[in-house]
Amino acid sequence: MAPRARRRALLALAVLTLPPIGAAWAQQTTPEVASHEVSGPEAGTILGRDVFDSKGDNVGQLVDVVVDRDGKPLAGVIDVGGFLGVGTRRVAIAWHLLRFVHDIDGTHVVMDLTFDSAAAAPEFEGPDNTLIVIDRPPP
Amino acid sequence: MTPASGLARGPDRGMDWLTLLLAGGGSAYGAFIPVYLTAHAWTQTRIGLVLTVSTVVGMLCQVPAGLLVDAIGPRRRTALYWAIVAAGLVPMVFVILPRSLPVLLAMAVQAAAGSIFTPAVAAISLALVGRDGLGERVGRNGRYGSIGAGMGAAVMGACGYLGSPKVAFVAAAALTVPALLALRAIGPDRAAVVPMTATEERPGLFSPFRLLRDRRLLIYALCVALFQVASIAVLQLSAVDVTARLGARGALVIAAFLIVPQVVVAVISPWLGKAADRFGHRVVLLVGFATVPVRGVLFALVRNPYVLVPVQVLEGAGGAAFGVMMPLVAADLTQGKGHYTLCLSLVGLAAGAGTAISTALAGWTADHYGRHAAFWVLAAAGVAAVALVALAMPETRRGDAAPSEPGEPAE
Repeated sequence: MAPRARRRALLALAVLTLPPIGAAWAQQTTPEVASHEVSGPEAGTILGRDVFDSKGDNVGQLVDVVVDRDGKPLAGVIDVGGFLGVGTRRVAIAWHLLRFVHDIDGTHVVMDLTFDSAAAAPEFEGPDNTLIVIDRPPP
Repeated sequence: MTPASGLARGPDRGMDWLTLLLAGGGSAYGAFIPVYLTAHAWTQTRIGLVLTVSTVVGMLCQVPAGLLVDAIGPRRRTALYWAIVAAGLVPMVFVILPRSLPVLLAMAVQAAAGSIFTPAVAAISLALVGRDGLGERVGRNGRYGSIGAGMGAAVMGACGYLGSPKVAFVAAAALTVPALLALRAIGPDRAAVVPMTATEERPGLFSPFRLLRDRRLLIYALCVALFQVASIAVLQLSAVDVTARLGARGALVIAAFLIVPQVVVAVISPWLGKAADRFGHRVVLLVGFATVPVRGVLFALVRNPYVLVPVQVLEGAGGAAFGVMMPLVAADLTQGKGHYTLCLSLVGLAAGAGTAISTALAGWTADHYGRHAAFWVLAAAGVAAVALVALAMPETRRGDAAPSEPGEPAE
């Protein structure tokens, strides 16, 4: 018990001396961060979330997001189909075809395409580092 | 299946259960890991790193594990105990701490422990039944391993479908206890039926290198590597194709692609083990290898996924022969020289290299020349594998020994 009590005393001493130093430091700098709260139904994380098609079938998981130079999302990368991870096809679906539903179970991604058309679409990584994004044909 | 005459039932049942439970626990770490980690918001880069580390550790541990199991003799049982315990803790890491470092370490531990499993089970099998009963024993190992893997995959699938993959990991961890009990039930080695024990336990410092001078081992390792090159990527390539063609309905076909070979392996492995001892090892090896190019060509030609489901019987047949013959040929090659499990590990290393090459080769070919061409390239590797067995691989079974090879050690 004795070494433990000594350690506690030292810790208490350290804590007592800290606040003045911290206060002095805070006076000289403006805070770099501020925090605000976003309510559950308004937002959620999307990586790894299940993606459903227009009929409500589970298509696969959202594994990545393609962004342009400004960081604006262009497409969601989805692992479509397969069984226990065997036979999945990685397809990038244009961002405007994806909707995000935030509820108690977390975020669901809903795709305005059918499972079959997403599964049959060309895979995401084309030859020579090109990316293939799936969109609807122009009207 | 009745055990060979004169063998007690308890130890054989224990061995059956051990192979079933180890395969069942191991099937938790297949293609399912990336799906699980992705659901935990892991990026693809991190998942790729974990899988690579696991593969590299597994490959690096192969040969040391073989040397270790050879060197410790009867204490291999203790080594297997600890490997099972270590592997049993790994699934819990995925449940409790799915973070980078713990998962990375856990996968490394799993790979290292897994590299002990195969040589230790093979060595215990040999010590249990001796050389003469080995064909039947490894046949049963093949059967129960396949049943275990199938049941494990079914549990993973059900848990994934019901949205509770963590339960599957807990179940995999819970298998540790019955696996240890099964190992206990096997009991001590029956040294009397193991003629090679005397040499096996006193390996000289340089004796492992003698093994490498055996030309038959090098030929067999090359055959095994080519077999893997020709067969591994076929399923991956075709499963992706099935998804593209059938969309939502593809999952059922892919499941059938996976289940059919498992059933075939479970059904024919014990029979193959006996057939190998009866008709010769080379014959079974040749027939098993011949299924690979046939399957490759059929997958290249047939475009209807439903028609390909029965073709998967060939994968089962080839896989069963591959799995049964590996420990038998290793036992042939090391007759009286010891280093049985080292020999198995070297062949296992060749198989691992073949697996890696298969995926890379198929991916590259598919990218540059299309999926169709990739199937033909794999089928060509299969033809090369069969040709090598037919032209260069001698009969290794004791008794009807081929004239001794030039590179074979004299002693």
